[in-house]
Amino acid sequence: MKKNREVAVKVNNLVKRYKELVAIDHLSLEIYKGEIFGLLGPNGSGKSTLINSILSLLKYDQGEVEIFGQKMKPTAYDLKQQIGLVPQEPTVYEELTVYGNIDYFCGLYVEDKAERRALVEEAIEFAGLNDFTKFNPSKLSGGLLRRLNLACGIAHKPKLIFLDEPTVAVDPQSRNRILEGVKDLQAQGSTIVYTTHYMEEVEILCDRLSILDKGSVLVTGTSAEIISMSALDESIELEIYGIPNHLLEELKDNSDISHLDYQDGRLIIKTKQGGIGLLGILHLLEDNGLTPISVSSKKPTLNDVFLEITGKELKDNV
Amino acid sequence: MFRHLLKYSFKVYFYNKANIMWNFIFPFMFISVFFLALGNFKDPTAEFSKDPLKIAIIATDQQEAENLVEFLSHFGEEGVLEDTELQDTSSDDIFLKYQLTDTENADQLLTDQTVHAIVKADNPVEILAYNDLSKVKSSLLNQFLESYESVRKTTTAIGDRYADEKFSDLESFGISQLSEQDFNAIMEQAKMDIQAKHDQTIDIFAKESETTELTTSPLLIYFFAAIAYIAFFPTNAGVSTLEEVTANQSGVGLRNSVTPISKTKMFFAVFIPRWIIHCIFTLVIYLYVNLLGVNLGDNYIQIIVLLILGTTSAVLTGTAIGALFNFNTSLKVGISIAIPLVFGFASGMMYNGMPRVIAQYIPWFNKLNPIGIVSRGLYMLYSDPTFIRFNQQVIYLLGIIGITLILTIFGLRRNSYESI
Repeated sequence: MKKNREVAVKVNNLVKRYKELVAIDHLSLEIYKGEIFGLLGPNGSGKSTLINSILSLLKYDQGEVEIFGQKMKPTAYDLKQQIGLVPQEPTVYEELTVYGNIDYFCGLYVEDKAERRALVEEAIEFAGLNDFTKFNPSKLSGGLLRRLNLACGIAHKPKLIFLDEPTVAVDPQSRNRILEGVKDLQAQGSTIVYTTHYMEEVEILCDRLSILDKGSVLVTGTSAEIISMSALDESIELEIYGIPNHLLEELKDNSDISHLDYQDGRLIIKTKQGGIGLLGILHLLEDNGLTPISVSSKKPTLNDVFLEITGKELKDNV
Repeated sequence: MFRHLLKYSFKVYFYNKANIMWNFIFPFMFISVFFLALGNFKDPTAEFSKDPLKIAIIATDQQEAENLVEFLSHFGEEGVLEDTELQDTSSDDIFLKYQLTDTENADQLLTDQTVHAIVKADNPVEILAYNDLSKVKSSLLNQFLESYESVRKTTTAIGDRYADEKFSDLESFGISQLSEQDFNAIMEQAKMDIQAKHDQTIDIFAKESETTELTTSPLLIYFFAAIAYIAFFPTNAGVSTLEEVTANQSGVGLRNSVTPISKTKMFFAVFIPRWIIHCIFTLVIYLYVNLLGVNLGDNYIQIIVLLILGTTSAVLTGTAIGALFNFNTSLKVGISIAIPLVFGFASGMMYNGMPRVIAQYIPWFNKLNPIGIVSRGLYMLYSDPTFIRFNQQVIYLLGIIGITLILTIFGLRRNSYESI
């Protein structure tokens, strides 16, 4: 992705206030064409406000938003033509069938009937709704409803898609379908802005991500980059007996090891990232003729990093 | 694109069960119940013909009493006047019920309000006492007695003329036949006079009511206000129109707002189907009312224009509310139900004296109350052949439509929102 570096969305020094509350605080961001960009942040961090500002639905106090190099404004219909929105809550017409809903929203972008019919059928196929085209939304399960919500937002094949927590409260089957669909959309050339509370989804899907809190971007990068930026330690736990004292002292003196505890054959070591690591410790034990009975290692996850950065548990806020 | 939007707006509105219930079934039920409750108002003038003038006749002179009864028998029925028996008239054309009685009984009948008046059969005939008579009944009573006096004087004059002739000459003239012909002609003229007076009095009554804007018939006010209420009922259709168009009011509104369709185009695409549907529905209700046998008058075109303007003002009032205020859905639904009810109440739908109270204390409100305006317009169409007052109501309605449309556009022109 980075090779291309063509910017799809550029947010520059954006400020949005609700009276005294600063919802977006001098936020700058670049989203590249063709990437899946994750927006993470606890509730109230400004994710929705940022998306609504990017889409020119909200008045903001300061800053600029550009999409595909053009300034985004409420009357930028040529830009809106290239945008798809999948809101967090399924927003479809209860009075229309599955087919009717997709056809309606697609028809707001595509005038030609034949072309639209083909796109609608493609979207139905894409979302796996073939067996439900004549169903009204009230007859669909939560997962199917979310798939319909997705199909309505992407049927016109937008170049830029905003997906706002599309997998909340869906069954695993629908969730996989949606995640695969998002990958497919990227493969078709779309740029995707993806907000979610599920860290594993971000790690699987997103090429890059930003963590927001209190209206500011705390960190931006790939998952690996963000994890590596963290000062969190790798935690190594070994079941091993008969470690001589001199070896324990040697380990304690190692500058890469921040913590060591040995009791009843259980050795717990915390090592700094990029330091001695699990392999280094195993080599050291082997050199001293010791073989552990069991070994486990826990590296910091994106969730740990998120907690470290924001001080908040993300999923608790869902 | 616009056709696509129109097509789906029609579909969405038609397939909405709540709409079907509240905007279509409820008004039918309302009008039906209203009709049953006030089933006597098929013809607002019915009270004049269905409730005949009731009089007690006191006989001080037997011959005069017989003459008067003979005269009145051509227009009404003699009977024993007790309680509500008089309401059950066998003929729609009957104007009069009367009873020859003594003074004491007549007084009792008047006290009991079984009769409207006591008439003394004398030369000349005389009204001794009467209850609170309507203008129509008062006019008719006087006309009956005037006609009787006229007939009596004419027949007396003919009798006097023949009395001056030689008796033998009378034989040759065939006086008995001549008298009968004369009498029949005189009675026919009297009937025509009374019928004309009846019609004329009703016209005068209606015009007076219209010019003073005060009701003399509660049924008229109730009825016209109810029709106007139904015409103004779809305020909620306007509120829901804005919900679908504006991003800060609903999820669908949010989704529609990020499409490459201008907000104005989107608004009209959602508004027009609702407006058309409700105009048609108002006319269906009007047709239904006619099928029920309610007489709204013969000015069909003007009535249709008035009702359509009323419905237009209702939907646009809703859109103005939706465009200017960002209430939650429940509150908006409440407001869109409350507004027609308040306007309907102010128009006399629940208490017929309300327009008079409003006219006295806040007269400007009557000019801002679309239901009151439609109600008055219907009333004036019924009674004012010149259409001058009707046209005035149309202008008021057009003013309201213009203002609400401007407010709606003003609200819509906010291209983005402070909050969503």
